[in-house]
Amino acid sequence: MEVTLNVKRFDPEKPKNNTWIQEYVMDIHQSSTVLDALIHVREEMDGTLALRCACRASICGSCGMKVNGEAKLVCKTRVEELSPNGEKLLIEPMGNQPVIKDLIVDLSAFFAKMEQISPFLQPNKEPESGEFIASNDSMEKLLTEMNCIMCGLCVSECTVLEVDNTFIGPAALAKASRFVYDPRDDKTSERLNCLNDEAGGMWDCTRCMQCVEVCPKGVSPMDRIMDLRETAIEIGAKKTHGYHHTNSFEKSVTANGRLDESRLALESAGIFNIFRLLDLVPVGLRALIRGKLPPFIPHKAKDNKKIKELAKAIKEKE
Amino acid sequence: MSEKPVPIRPGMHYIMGGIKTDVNGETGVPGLYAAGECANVSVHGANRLGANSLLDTVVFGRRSAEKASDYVKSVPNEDIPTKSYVERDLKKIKDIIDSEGNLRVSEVRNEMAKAMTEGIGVFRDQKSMEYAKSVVEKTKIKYRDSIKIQNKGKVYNTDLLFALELENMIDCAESIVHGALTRKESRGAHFRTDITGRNDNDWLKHTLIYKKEDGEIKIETPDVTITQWQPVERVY
Repeated sequence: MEVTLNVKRFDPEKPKNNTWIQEYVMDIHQSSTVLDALIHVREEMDGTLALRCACRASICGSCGMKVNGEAKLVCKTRVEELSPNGEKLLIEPMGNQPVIKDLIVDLSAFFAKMEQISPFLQPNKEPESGEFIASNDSMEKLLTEMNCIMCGLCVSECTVLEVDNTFIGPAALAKASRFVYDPRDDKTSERLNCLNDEAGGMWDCTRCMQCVEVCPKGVSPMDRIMDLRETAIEIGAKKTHGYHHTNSFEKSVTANGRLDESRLALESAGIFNIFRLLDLVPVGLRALIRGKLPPFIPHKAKDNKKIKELAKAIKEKE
Repeated sequence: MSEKPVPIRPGMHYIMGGIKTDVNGETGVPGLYAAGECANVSVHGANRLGANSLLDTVVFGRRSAEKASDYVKSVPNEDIPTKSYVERDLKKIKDIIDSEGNLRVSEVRNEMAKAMTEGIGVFRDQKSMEYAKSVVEKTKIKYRDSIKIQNKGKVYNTDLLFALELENMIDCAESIVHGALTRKESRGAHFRTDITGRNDNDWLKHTLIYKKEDGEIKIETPDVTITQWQPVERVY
């Protein structure tokens, strides 16, 4: 079948016009993946095209790139599925990472962030007999986290990293959860306190779900981040705006059956945190001008009682 | 997807041979250590079983690293005259970039790969292996005289990288054909259709392939040292 790839090219050695879209038209087998097509280009049409790949079987995580705007492992993406009627495919490098050449991005920030979470087991005792034995059950619980192949697709699509590259990001946080929930590791509270960092820590995730959407291995990084947040609260590591935000959410819904936005803003910032509160003033003023300022005395939901009962039932269950 | 045929064929999974090392990753060259799939500690025999390549990384990777580190500490910290080596390598790269042949590296490589799969793939016999050997010989000449690369750049030049890789691939392919042709029996993954049986009387041997400076191949077949574990046939 015939396929047309529009590949975004970048050549840092060209003095000008170093970014362009190049079209390649070729005949490929019906079962070909996008990677097969790109390799065809590189081997038979244009040796100057640079791309990364290794295993071709979605286990090494090397060939992450954007196809029609969405990050994918191209070895796991069949041409026919995206282009059943010969539609052109747009191939671009992954997002949120600097491009080195063509489809190859610089992964050094990705791995620096991985390193930041100390991605190795840290027991604080010697094993009783030669080695630490982890039960089958405990390892099975970690299968999702351990599935990560560090391809970077979640980082490419993270909407927080797009505006704030200090965020540690979905991949490193998912990796952190793999160690937090490993029974052989004894640094749980140190790890969680570290991830609690206000600058770029786990509370910066906005739960947009992009990482869950694009992860080719079902790791669901956002869910792993939510697990970590819950565990941090459980062990009492509560000195974060994130915790206050969550807590205020719960309090206001339990009390009124709906969200009290004024209180949420104040309590998330911390009512004694003058600087943070001053930050809120312009937002408040803008909201006031446009008639969007939430009421100071919160509305109550009609079926408030039922919500209180529900909240009570949940508390008892816990 | 499930209703359409899925193309399937055998693929290379693991290299059982490699640079000969002892249990500490030491090769025959002082100061050169090898570990992982490039090395051969001779723990796998003629058929590496599932999950056993972990030994190469977890056990022998660690041992080689420790030994290499000890070695570095034991030798005097001298200035090594690297200039001539750097110049040699730069010239090699320049020669590839300036080469004016008419064959793409991928074309030359795929031709050799096809012959290796056909001649020395899952099943082999004398004739098929000799065919593979003859193609490898031709590939050497094509690589020397007729390749060209399109990418002349200095950033992430995979065109150049694959040319350099092909040179090493030819070395590996050459060792594989010589090793396979030497072994007059079937054992593990070396499955000959013309000599099907395993022959412990004559072939409890390693095959060592050396390449001399002038390109001449030397083959040795030292005996396997068997201590605690007797070799047995895989029956599952």
